[in-house]
Amino acid sequence: MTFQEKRSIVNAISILLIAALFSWFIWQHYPFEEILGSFSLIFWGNMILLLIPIQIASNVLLNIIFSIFNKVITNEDEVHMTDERDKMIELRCTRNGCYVLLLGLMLSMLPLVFGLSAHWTFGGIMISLFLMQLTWTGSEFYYYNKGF
Amino acid sequence: MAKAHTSNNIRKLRFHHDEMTQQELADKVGVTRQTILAMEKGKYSPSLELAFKIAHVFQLPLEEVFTYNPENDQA
Repeated sequence: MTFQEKRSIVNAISILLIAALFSWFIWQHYPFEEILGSFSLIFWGNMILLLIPIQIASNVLLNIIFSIFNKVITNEDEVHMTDERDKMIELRCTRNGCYVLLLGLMLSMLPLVFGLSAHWTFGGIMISLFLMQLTWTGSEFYYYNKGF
Repeated sequence: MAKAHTSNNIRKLRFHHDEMTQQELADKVGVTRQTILAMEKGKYSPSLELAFKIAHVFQLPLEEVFTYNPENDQA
């Protein structure tokens, strides 16, 4: 397995871990009934602004840990260079991620159409963002592993 | 995975050039070792520029390094 494939797996684990921990945090601090009871844009603004730095920090931390472990176990240096193949893969991953995000955003509008609370829409947007990231890393693993 | 449209003799040519390593070739043409590995395994078809660079390293014409496989083209 190449360095990039292993890095994709670490990124996927990081995304899943953050999604799980973040959901757990919301569940503990904001009861479901309370969230649904009163719609607040401030709540969702806080959530998104909180999620972004947590995700960046955890991703950086996990990647540093991965690089150290990978170097110790395999003696393989981290790949810093980006060549034409990496750029092609990045473009394809971005394309796939955008498709998922677009579909997710469209589906997130359905609760509004059916007269449900806007919380469902924002929840749908958050899920779409997570799925986009997972699609991105999944695509990255696929293209590095299978080729194109 | 779609079948590659081109095949190559990079591995054989490396061997005949004093057993050049993938990393050495990668450094000479400005890509990562993983890209050379992917090309040798037929998982990646390089750009024209990269193909010419590789042929230049081995001092051979392009068609002696890369071969086009029209049978793998979609109808």
